[in-house]
Amino acid sequence: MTYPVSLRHEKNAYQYNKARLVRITPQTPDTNLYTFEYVDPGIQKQFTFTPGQFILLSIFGYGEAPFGICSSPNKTDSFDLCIRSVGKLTNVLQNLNPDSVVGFRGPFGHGWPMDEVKGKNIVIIGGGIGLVPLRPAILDVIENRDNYGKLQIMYGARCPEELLFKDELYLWGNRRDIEYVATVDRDDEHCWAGNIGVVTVLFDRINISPKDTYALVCGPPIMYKFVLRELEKIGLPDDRVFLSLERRMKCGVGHCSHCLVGSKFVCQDGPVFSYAEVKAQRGAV
Amino acid sequence: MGLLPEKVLNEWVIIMAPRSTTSPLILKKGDITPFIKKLTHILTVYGPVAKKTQFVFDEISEGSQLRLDYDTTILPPKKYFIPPQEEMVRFSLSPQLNITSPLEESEEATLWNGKRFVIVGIHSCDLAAIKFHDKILTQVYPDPYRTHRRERGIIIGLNCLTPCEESFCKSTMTLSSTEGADLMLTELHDSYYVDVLTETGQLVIDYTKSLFSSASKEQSKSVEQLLTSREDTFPDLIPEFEKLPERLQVGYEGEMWARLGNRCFGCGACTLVCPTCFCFDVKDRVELDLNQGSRVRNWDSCQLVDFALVAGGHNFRPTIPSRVRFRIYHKFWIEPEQIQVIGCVGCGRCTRTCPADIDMIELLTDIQEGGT
Ligand SMILES: Cc1cc2nc3c(=O)[nH]c(=O)nc-3n(C[C@H](O)[C@H](O)[C@H](O)COP(=O)(O)OP(=O)(O)OC[C@H]3O[C@@H](n4cnc5c(N)ncnc54)[C@H](O)[C@@H]3O)c2cc1C
Ligand code: SF4
Ligand code: SF4
Ligand code: FES
Repeated sequence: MTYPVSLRHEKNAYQYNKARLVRITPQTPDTNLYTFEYVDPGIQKQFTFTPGQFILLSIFGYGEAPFGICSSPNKTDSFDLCIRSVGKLTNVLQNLNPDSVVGFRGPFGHGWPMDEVKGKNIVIIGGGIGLVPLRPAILDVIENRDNYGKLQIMYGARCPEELLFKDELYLWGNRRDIEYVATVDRDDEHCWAGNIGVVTVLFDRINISPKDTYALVCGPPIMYKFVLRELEKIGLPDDRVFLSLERRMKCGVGHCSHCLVGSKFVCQDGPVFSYAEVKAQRGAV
Repeated sequence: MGLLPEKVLNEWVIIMAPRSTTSPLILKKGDITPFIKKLTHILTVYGPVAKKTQFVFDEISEGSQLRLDYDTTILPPKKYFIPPQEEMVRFSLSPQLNITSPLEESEEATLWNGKRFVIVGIHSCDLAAIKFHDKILTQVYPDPYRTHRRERGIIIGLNCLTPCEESFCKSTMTLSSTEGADLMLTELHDSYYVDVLTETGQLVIDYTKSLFSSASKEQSKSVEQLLTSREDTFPDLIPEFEKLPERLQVGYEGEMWARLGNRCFGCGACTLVCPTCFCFDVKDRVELDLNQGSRVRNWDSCQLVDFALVAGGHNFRPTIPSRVRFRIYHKFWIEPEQIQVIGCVGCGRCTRTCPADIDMIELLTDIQEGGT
């Protein structure tokens, strides 16, 4: 039959690779860090991704869902996901025993513009679980510190218990080559000596120069509105501000239409978009 | 909003391909029954059949069931390429995770090994919708499940000679679409005039050769006349249809969405019967032994409330007006942006199905008139 060859299945995007759960490291009461390793060592060896890309995790019988990859892109023996338990799949996941086998498709999508930001200053702004897809970018900057300019990190969580990667935050705070500030919305237990308030209060604590600077932002939908306004005030142009969007996803490869934002698929054209691209789409933020 | 492609709809021009590659043939109406009989020996045959007062595409075992005089069907033939429910993988959970895909079948489908099927009598609007899916579902990755079925389907198209109610295919420029069909039929008195459009079509003809005769010059001329006379008999109900994307650049915040939204029940029927809609949902099904199951995808609808709901309860389109608007923008603005083709072929099924009497022609005319 005269069908274009590209339509045949050598690019079958619905093929699953099996991976073994290596360990679960608790982060907060409802969020864990999960370390996985592909069952086939050849696949594990070939596994590469760009910070900001996501992967689709399947627990057969319970479903499939997208998660940002959370480990360093330079780590090759395994990879991490940091997942909040919110529903069917994620609740089963937290009760899996090490050595359980799950399925993965991907990585998919476009991540942070790591090539474009080489040699430039980077401001990272994360809200809540939004820090997860930013972590590989932070780790890459730390591991290849000479490749990048200044690194500033702003992180906000609802309360001190909800802060992720607490040991790392401590290290980031103590490094001279990173400017790290954090805030919590509220501190009912009075155990937090730092800033109180939503992420935008941090703009008073940190001096961002718009020159040669890129902002990488990820957080809940409500956060974008306020953060983008602050970045505009500072004078960061829209094409140097990048956001990771979250939408419902059923396929990850541009078929099911669940993730459409304007005419863009979050799963393929994103999840990371420049603010300039986002502005061109209706109903994006 | 993003930039509009320079020329929307240029694809349809390609879809209106030349009518015949080899010399046209004649199949007598009385020979339809032996023709279908012969096809059923090697292929699964689908076609329009009567169901109460309406028509549906269904499997056919006898030529007499085939109703080539149908006006339209409840569901379009897309169900043969994207079934309402389709198994994506089968899995067994113990002793170890084992995943198998229905696509792994290695044997190539030929005309002879029973793995192909034929759909007889697809009208031009539905042909255009099939081509539309060929394009929209291969933007980044090909949809392997649809491709698998598409490669196995043989299509015998049928030219429409009288407009059906609620349709506006002249405006959508899909009235004369033939591309995608392997054979194209035109009713001519007591016969069907047959254009052979592809090699596969020729294979079907070779297999049933004795039933066909060559068309005469006069017959060709009559068909030519019949087809061009449609320019007069089919009304252009939505003039300047191709300008819709441009017109939608404004009006996103308009009041018409609230007005429509107040009438719409959000039932999703309009999207299920639409030949160009293709959204799906995915669910895992586990068998009673809890050890085996399958992942299935089901037709979904952007009109249903949880379509754009994400973790944490945030819904990007929480209201009916926002979902009605999304459906219209998806077809008339997003898809043209993505593949330069408007996602509506003018079949009128959505109007016929809607329990709230929402009329696509009225709705689009409103937009054309700058309705807000
Ligand atoms: C690109 C991307 C990256 C993500 N990265 C992370 C991450 O790193 N860590 C993390 O914890 N979460 C992440 N998420 C969210 C994660 O996908 C959802 O939490 C997950 O789908 C919930 O699945 P569930 O079966 O446990 O919940 P369900 O039982 O399915 O539902 C619980 C809630 O989640 C909503 N929901 C269902 N399916 C989806 C879906 N596919 N996407 C979003 N919401 C859904 C439901 O509407 C409901 O409100 C990401 C989402 C996207 C799109
Ligand atoms: S939107 Fe309505 S008229 Fe257009 S193709 Fe779909 S069902 Fe047919
Ligand atoms: S069929 Fe009619 S009532 Fe139902 S969702 Fe579509 S427009 Fe609304
Ligand atoms: S997740 Fe299916 S189209 Fe993006």
